[in-house]
Amino acid sequence: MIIRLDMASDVPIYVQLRNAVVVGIGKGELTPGEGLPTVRQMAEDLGVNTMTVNKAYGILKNEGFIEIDRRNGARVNPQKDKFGVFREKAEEELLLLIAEATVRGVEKSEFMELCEKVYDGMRVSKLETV
Amino acid sequence: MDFDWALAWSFAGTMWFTQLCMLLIYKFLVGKNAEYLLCMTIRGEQREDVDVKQLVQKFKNEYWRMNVVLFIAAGGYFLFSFLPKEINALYMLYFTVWLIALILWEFKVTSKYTNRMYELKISKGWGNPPKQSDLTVDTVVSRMKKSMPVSEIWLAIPAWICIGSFVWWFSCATEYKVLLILLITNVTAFVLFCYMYHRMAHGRLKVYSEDSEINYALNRTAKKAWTGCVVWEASLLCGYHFVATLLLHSYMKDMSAGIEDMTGFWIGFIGSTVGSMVLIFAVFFSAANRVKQAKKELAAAADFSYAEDEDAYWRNGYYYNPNDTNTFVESRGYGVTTNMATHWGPITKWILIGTFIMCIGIGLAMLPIDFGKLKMQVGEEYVELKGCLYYKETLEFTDVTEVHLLTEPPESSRVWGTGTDRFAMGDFHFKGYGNGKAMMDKDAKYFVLVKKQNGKWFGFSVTDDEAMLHAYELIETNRLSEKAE
Repeated sequence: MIIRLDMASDVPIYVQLRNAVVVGIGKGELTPGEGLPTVRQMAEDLGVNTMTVNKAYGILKNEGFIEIDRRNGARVNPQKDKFGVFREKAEEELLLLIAEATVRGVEKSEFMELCEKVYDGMRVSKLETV
Repeated sequence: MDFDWALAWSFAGTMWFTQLCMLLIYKFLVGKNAEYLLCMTIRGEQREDVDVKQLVQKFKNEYWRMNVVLFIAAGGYFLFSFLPKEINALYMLYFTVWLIALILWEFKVTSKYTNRMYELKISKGWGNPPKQSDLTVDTVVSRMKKSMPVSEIWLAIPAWICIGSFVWWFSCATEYKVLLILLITNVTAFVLFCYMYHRMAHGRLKVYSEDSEINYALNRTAKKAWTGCVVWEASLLCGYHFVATLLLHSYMKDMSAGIEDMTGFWIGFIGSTVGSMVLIFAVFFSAANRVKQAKKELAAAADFSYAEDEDAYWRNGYYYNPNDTNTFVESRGYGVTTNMATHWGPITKWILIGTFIMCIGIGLAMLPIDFGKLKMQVGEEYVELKGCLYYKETLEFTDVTEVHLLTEPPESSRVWGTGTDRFAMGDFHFKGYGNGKAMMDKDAKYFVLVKKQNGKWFGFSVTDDEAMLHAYELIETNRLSEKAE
């Protein structure tokens, strides 16, 4: 999977990296069980500090997207939202997004169409998650 | 004046050969099958564009004009035959100035036209430049670093050669100090190769296309080819250095022992030099070809196009990409080149500048040797000789056990020191005598050779015949009186 980061962006690098991995898993570019580069390798290739990658990996692990094995490094291991934590988070973020959409004049049907298009682009729903 | 035509031919020949090698760059800049045109990704129909063709033609004209001027300038060596006196330093200085002119002029012309080509490309809307702030990484390729195709353990071979050569020198060749220079050069080259291996093996991996499999295949081929090349080059160069050192050692020993037939040495020396140079170039070209071939084959099989062109980073004729942490990158010409945006960039620049300064410095330091004179001061109990640079020697008469007055210096080989057509100073092996020091003016009529109490020889000669005879008489008288006492 190819990860692109924008060094000029206001979004911190570790957040961009976390988002890129989540999108990659969602799109099926990173399959469950697939290994990710080690923190050092990733940091070397991106030319960033190892702490930045470490932070991103830590977040991904806590959010249940990857597992970290000391011997084999990081592996993709997406877990289902068993306790509804994600749903709460999604509702919060959607509230803001939908509010902005209504202000900008985006119709509900148009918004739903957009959501459907993006959702269809994800392949992970067809994959088995833990 | 006896003009040294062989020396002039060898200097001029080296310059023409250098020029010929530099012409290879031309082949990669505007050659028929060049992958890039003036370092830029101009492909297919774009190459048929009138403006592109015009620019290429202008470059060709300027490039060839430069080469003709430099070719004629290299022949300038033969004009030195008109000088009333042979000046060795002039050869060195002329060569250095010519080489600086070649490199700077070539760089000026190339950077001027690559820049123009880049501007033309952008104005035509053909560019697909990467965003300066973008960083791309392929997770599949990045994992590859866990298993390098060529292990660093292979560098143990040249390492052992280096260690072995030092052990050999300390055990049986310490008196040949000049050989130590070769061994130190060997270790320096080995350290440089280790550094190159490290940078090539652990450097950032390149994202060629959107397809991870292609990225993996190309990166693995490039890593395998270049790290393998470094290991081979290090082994070959260190091995050659050691063989050359052994040969030179036997040559100097044979010279001291009075063996005149040196055919074996010359066959061995020329054979090993040419053989190893051919192998070194063959390994380099093989690695470069393997990478190029892999690219071509994958391009034909998978029909991939580069995600983005990196022309913006090549616009000055060299690679300058601050976002790339790689020190060594694949060149748009042949082989590998350095990323001038890394710390290695200024180092390369200063090594080049330092080399030029050193060459000019050596040339200037040689001027006193060409124009200077070996000075001798004869005292009541000593003879003091002052040569050029730091060469100075004092001979106490009480230290002399044996003295010879010769009409020419004995056959000898210099194992340390300096020398030109006229002067020779330093440590010598005198055929039929033994080891010692000498300061000699080759135009002198007499040569005095004395044996010191420590068993070492010391020889000297200056053009002042009367002073030479006077010094000999004083030494001999003193020696005889000491003997009588």
